[in-house]
Amino acid sequence: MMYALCDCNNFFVSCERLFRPELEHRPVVVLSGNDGCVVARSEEAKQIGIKMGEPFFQIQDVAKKHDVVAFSSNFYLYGDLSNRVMRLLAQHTPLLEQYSIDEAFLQVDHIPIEQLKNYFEQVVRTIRQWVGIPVSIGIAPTKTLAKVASKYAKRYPAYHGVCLMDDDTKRAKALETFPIKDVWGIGRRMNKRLEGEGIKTAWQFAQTSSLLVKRWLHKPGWMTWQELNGIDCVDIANRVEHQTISKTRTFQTAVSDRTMLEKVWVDFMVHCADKLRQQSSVCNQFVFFAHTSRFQNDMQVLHQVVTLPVATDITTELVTNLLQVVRAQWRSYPYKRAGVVLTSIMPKHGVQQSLFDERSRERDQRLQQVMDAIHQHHGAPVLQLGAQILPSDIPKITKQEHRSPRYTTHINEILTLKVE
Amino acid sequence: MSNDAMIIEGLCAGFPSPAQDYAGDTIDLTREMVRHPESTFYARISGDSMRDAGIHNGDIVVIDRSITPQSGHFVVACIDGEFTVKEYQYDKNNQCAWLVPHNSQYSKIKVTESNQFCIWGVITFCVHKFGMV
Repeated sequence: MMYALCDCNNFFVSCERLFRPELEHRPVVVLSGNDGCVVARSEEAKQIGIKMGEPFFQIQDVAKKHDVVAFSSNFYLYGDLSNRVMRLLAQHTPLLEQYSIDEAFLQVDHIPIEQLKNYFEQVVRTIRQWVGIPVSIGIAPTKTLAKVASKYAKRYPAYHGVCLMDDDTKRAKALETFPIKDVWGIGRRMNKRLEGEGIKTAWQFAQTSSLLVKRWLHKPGWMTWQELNGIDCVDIANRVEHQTISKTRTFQTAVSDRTMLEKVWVDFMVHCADKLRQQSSVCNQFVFFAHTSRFQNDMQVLHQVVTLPVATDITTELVTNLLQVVRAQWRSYPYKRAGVVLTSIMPKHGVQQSLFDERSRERDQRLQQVMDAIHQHHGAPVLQLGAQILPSDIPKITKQEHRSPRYTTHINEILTLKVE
Repeated sequence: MSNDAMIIEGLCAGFPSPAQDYAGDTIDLTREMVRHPESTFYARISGDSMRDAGIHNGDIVVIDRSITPQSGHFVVACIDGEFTVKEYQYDKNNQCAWLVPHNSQYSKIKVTESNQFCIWGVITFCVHKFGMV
């Protein structure tokens, strides 16, 4: 088996720069949904020390000093450009597994190994020219190794965007200088454990005996260990990426109206359910909450855990359950922050069906597929639940002061060319 | 309900429509104008330096980034960080490029090595709305 992992370089920043060429070579950051913190950085922004996830207000001084350009997230734009990249990639593989908005694994066994490097260098050039997005591709016998290779492809320009790790010498050389904490599948807890055992690089880890690895890290860590040793065993369909999925927001002005907050919760749930299906998972427990300002003495909290009889990924089912409980538990306060968190997530296949399940799941499933297909087709969530907040109402409660135009999805926001 | 008549097929008892077998897609201009959806972008023109070539202020242009630019193409170029639309001319003898306007009030721009220059995409169509409609 050979896998290629294609990763878009600083994806959100690259999307913004495509329509603002004057921002090339300048530090650029993209902020999270509510302009809260930094979620993407250009190389220049990394170099002046801006960290991933840093709250935006904390970097105001640095931003001013270095003339950093900040954007609010523009998911219409990122989603559309991501689809273009994915469609081009899909032409080069019998099996494409999209892993995130800016990453996909491709099976590449149909291409002779000696041609892989040249072939994918051409793919990198095509995507760069056609869509305008720079990508890096790592090719290796396992997905975890392909991820490592893609990091090298990105780091060294001499690779022309493609790093092929097709023998043990190259594998050893790459892993020797690769920090174990940056390996795909090694979480913070695993890294701490390995640090305690004196393991710092991916190579040290790969050379540890399999017995010890199993004892220290159990099955997930052992799978990563096998992958680093060239044994293909991670099936991303089975790999539940996010143990929780959540969406939360702080409001600019407090919300105390039940109907309003209901709409917000439903909207959050719709987003969470979309993510859930994207990673082929289902969920049988979620939490919704709202609280008043933290800076008041008597902070009021509304926090409710909802458990479902059968794990599901169907939006309407999750929303119905949410609304039932909201209506039963509602207390009116000036809420400043609200959210939805899916807490119990598992892979979709192999879900236990309840004998007493009365819901017509097949019908729900079909409706969901139709809605997803329509959204995919339009590249945007054009259909909404009646209970969801209208997109036009959202700006009133979320902060998005630096959003760029939706150049590729909204005709009134396309690029203007000054022709003088 | 608008006052458009509702047409219910299958209610009339006579012959089926002879055109039924030919029913299907209607002409889709987007499909004609967009050869590669992955590389196609739209932009609105502001200014009149390409007026004599039929690209007017307010028009929408279709840009295909997959096309390799050649002399004579109308292109979206990016020069020193700024976008413009011009005819592209490559000057073999002087090893330089020219951006040629189509309006006598403007002069052509010579692109040299001191410029940061790229061609962002090639214009394939221009959509012009007539003022009187």
